[in-house]
Amino acid sequence: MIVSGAKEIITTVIVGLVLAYGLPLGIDTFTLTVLSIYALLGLSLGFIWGFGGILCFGQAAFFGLGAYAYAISAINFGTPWIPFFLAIIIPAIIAAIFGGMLFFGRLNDVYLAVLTLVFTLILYKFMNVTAGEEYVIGKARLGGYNGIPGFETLSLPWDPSEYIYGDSLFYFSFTLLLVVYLGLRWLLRSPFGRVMIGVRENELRAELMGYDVRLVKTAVFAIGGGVAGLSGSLYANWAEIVTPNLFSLGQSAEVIIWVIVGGAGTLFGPILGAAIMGYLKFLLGQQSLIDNTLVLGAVLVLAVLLLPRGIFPVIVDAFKRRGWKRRAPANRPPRGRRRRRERRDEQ
Amino acid sequence: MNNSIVVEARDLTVRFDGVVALDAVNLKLQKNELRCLIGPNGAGKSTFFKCLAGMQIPTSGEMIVKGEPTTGFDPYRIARLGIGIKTQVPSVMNGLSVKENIWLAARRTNPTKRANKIVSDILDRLNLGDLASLEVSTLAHGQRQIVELGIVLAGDPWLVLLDEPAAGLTGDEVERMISVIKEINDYATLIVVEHDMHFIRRIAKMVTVFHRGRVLIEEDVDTVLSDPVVRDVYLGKRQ
Amino acid sequence: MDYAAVVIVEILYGISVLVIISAGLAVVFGMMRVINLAHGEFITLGGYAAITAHSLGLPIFISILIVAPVVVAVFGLIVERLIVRFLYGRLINTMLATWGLSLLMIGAMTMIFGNTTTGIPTPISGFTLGRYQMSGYNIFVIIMAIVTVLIVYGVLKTTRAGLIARGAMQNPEMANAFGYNTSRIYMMTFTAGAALSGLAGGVMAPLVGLNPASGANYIAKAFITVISGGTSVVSGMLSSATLFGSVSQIVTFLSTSVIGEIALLVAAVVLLRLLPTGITGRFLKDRV
Repeated sequence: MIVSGAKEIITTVIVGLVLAYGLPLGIDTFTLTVLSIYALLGLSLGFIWGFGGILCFGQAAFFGLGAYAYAISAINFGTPWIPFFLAIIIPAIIAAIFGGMLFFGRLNDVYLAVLTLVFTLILYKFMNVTAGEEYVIGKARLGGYNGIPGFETLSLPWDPSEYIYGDSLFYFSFTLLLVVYLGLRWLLRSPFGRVMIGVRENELRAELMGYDVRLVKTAVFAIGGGVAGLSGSLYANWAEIVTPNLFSLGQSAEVIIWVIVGGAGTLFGPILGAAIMGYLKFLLGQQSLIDNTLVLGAVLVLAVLLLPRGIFPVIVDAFKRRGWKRRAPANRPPRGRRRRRERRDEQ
Repeated sequence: MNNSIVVEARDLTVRFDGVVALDAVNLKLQKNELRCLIGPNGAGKSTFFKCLAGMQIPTSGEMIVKGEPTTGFDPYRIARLGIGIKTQVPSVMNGLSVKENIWLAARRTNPTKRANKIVSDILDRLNLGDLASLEVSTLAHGQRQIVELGIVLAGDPWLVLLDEPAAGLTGDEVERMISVIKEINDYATLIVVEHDMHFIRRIAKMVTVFHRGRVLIEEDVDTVLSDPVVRDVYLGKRQ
Repeated sequence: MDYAAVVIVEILYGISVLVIISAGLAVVFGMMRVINLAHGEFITLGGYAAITAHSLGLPIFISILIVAPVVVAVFGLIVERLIVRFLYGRLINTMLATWGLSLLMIGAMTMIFGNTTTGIPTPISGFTLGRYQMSGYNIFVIIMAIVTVLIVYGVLKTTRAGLIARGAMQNPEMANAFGYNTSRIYMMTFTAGAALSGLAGGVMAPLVGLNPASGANYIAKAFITVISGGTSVVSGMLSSATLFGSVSQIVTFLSTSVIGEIALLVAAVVLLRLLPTGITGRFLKDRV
């Protein structure tokens, strides 16, 4: 798996160019834009779960926070680019505070899962009751379940009258997806990334080496929150409205489904999972015979029962036979169980 | 004279749900000493070890390292004092290679280049060169023990805590472990918790015997091993 | 004086709702360490079962107290055999699979019952207490909560089945060695938990408008009640329900019911931060 950085960048760029040229031939860019945005969101969870070992059941919280941060600040500033960066920074900071609270409390496994879920629900419930006049941030009314429409969307920095929408929003989102993907790959190869994988592998050993596991996990969680926030701000630009549904349980479940289907423990898997499932959802949306949610649920149940490692690792294994072994997903049960057993023995 | 005491436990007590695992243990360790902690199962030696390593918070009493109280420190703060810890069940990063495991330990206090150098030194020293790129989960128990020792050494500790280092080792590996322990003792202080009497005989100087959560006797190795009470404690347990 | 009584009844009611909607989850989590993320949908299914039975002409109390738990128990049994039993010991995978089940159920109920809100009228009329109008059904809910707790406690503490179940959960190998079939015990426990969820759905049906996505209203509250309570089924559930029920109702008095719910959730996050193993993990160990 040690591929030189330059080679990887070149490969990614070539694959990216081919896809950016090829995909619009078959699928309209409006759909492709939202698939890229989903891929970015899937990537954020794939990163913290597969490599940080943090299973967040409420990744939609940071997606929604990014979208709201963009919308609210775009109304207040009237320009798109400051909001664009705020939509990354604010979710990252909130993730750092919330994650820090959980990790410094040494909460793990089921408690972490439930609390992240509850966090999303708190935001969902809160945003739904903000219909009244009194819920205003600066010039922006939160609007309750109706959400916030009518904010300034992205435009060229040197020509504010040229809006980035349609095809150009797809190319912009897709480029960001590639950049973030490469950035996370680079991060994983850096010393910090190796420490974070070490923490995933064995928290106790990482501690005994002198690493502050709580701090590492908080940082990982904050990075994941920032990427999810970026994805949320792109979503706000695509939909041109933000609503409390961004925080819904269904949204959180979808992100998890993408990562499981694609395979946790890789970065490419979640991207693939998000694209496939996103497109499936789009196709299902065009018929009314079978309910969308039912199919998503069935896919999740079957994936957990039959393909606990996800599609992508299975495909790669089929091609490579070996080599990917080291990238075995964090949720692969036997190892997880073994690790837990060891930890218990040590107590 | 007081300066040479590097570890001191004062009335260290641990209770689990009514069971007293450690009962007001007092223990002092001199600089560059090699101290073995022995005792039958449940005697409290492992609990003592965990208190020192930050893996167990004592119910009462104090742990003092180089004059600084460390009671209730998290393991990472203990490690940052320059203490290397090998746990009873090998605690290694199973999904990473041998090299990556040791590198992570070396990298915490060193820049990347220097860390790489330390890793190759340790791989040589412990004869792990052939296994360097293998995933640790594929190794035998004894090999994992050696890898964990490598992780400990990579942190360049002045105090090394080893919990049952000889468990599961083959004859050759035991020899290597003994020579490494003696080598470490040239520059560092060691605490070794061990069951295996033959192993103790080979390495020990001072021995502390734990029994029922208390220190039974603390003497040089020959005195301890010929002590009738110690033999009773052990034999009584074995029958 | 009347006002104080009203406040106390309201607080008791808040606690009772938490107990009722958490009981099924608490039994399954406490006994099997399985978190059923479809718990909310189990409750919703119970609600639909009661409403459907009532609209087919069955008396309301039979629909609520018998049809709802039985239907959901049967459904739970099927789910246990088809999904959950393959995942024992894998907490996170169980949560994920049951989350999938939850979505699947929402989808299926949308297709069957439509994406509309239905309900049944409250079968008990209100009464006045001094100057205040009280809901008679709320009193019924409080009684049902007490009955639920007594049943769970009684089954666990005094019956042979309860004893075997507790033993099997603590040490499956041991129970196997004694000749008890742990797989069957797990199956029965999960089914019993589902029955309690169904009962909750029936009892809650006259109080809320029911739609396929209603489960989301219960799930967070039920979870945090159970998780915060810790692994002791009865004492854990009671202590955390009391705490959160009081917090939520008091805040509701001071502001609105949604803010009350948010306060409940925030209280739970803070509590778990302070007591990571839940209330009974810290204070009430070794209780049922």
